[in-house]
Amino acid sequence: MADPTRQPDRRRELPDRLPRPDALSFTLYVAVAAFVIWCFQAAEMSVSTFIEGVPSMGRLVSEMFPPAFGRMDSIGATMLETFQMAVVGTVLGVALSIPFAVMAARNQTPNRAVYYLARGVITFVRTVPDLIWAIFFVITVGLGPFAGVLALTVDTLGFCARFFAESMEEADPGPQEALTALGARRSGIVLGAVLPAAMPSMVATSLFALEKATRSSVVLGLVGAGGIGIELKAAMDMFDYNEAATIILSIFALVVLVERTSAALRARLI
Amino acid sequence: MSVQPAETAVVPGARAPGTAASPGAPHRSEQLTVRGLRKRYGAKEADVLQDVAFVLREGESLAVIGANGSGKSTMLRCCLRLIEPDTGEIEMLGQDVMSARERSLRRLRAHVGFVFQRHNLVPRLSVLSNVLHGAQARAASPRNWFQATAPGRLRAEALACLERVGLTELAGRRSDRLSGGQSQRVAIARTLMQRPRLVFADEPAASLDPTAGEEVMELFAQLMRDEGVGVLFTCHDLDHARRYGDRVLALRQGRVMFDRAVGEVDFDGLRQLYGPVPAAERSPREVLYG
Repeated sequence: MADPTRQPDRRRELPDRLPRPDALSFTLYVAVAAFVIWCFQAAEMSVSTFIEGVPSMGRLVSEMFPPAFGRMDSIGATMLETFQMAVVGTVLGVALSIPFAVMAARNQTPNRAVYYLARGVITFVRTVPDLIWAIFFVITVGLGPFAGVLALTVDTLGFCARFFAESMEEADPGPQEALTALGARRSGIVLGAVLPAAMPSMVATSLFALEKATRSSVVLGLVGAGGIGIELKAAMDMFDYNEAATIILSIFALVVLVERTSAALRARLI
Repeated sequence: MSVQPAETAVVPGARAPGTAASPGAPHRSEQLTVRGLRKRYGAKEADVLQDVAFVLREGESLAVIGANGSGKSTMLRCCLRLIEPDTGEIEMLGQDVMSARERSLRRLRAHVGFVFQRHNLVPRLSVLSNVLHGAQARAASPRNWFQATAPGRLRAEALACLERVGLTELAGRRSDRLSGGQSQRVAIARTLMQRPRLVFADEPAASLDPTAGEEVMELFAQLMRDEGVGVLFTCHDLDHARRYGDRVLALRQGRVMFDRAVGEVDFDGLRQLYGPVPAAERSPREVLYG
């Protein structure tokens, strides 16, 4: 007699865990996988070379310790300059981003020509890396933090204007309609209804931009655009790895401080 | 009394929409005259408004009733060209609205208050800043639009507007921290700040509880009594139409079913206005596809 507690095996009736791909999807998956493998090959990835390099890595790290704090006053002053560059670049970039964002927001732009022009400028400045902008400004205004500030301003413009425009497009149309109905001008609608609605998102984006600018300002010095980067490069070039370790730790401390402060401000403001 | 088509519903002695006042009636100038207003949102869609015509006179209150989708909100927005009508004639405060360019349209809108169902206050700004926005058209500098920067004269005027709606104590509060009834009263204060000659209100009490809705409608009645402005409001509450309207305009499927004095409306017979559309009134497309 059959055991009544025993259930029949119905596994064959279960639906597939994943939908079976059709021929076209399967071909695409294989093509994407082949492309990724090809990229790995082109990047000259080699596990054996990496393993051979591990002792050198260990030697470099051991030479970095203990960090040398002898020139901490000079490194501290340069770190401060680096952060000041980041703040000024962010402030200028954010200020420039607002008019660009208004022109690049589909529901705020005066006309389509202005929209496409603003979008084009934003896309261009965003796609060119900050280091390239730094080289450009070092050539045009000379060595020093001013070139770095200009590079950071342009980089922040590309980053913020796009997100500002998107938050303006997402702003509740109700208050805008109310101001239109009472005879407000376009500037009144933007200042009175659009910017207040987009403000939380814009503040969050600006704080992200400050974090990004702080990280960028560290490397801009490598091409002579001011900041701590030039100190790091000099220390590395002179095999002064103990001082390089001090600089790297200072950079780490600054970036973490800015990120934590920015996260706390975002949580409070939004 | 059952709902009849507009052309047969005009009662003896009453004026047909868009015509001059009949002899013997107290003379009040026409603040808003609409003729042949038509609107369709898409080429394949049905008309939302079809040959709508009506008149609003100075100090008069016109209640617009009709089921959801009958075209009430579209009609109000078309009158101010917040939505562009397809065809029609609109004369408001002596100006041709349809031919007005952007600048003159803005000047015209400055004289017309518009109260929305969802209040449409700017959420992150204070109550006083929202009221100050009502002065945007006449006080052009941006510093006049915000509590922090507006001159004392304008802030005092905004506070006086808040006093009229009984909310002076909330002047500094953020508008997204108000109840629905308070928000609508702030929206009315913003309209008062405009110093309007005409007020539109799109279901101003619809999102409020009965008490708050009553207070809001009472504010409109008071506005009419104190300022003598014409009020054009839409509503679903027939009791509001009866109590606060001088005339009632009924819309069904974008057409004016009747436009008559409130005393001549059989409110008990208005159920048809909110019932399903009889097949005879529906287009072949609607009959086939619903």
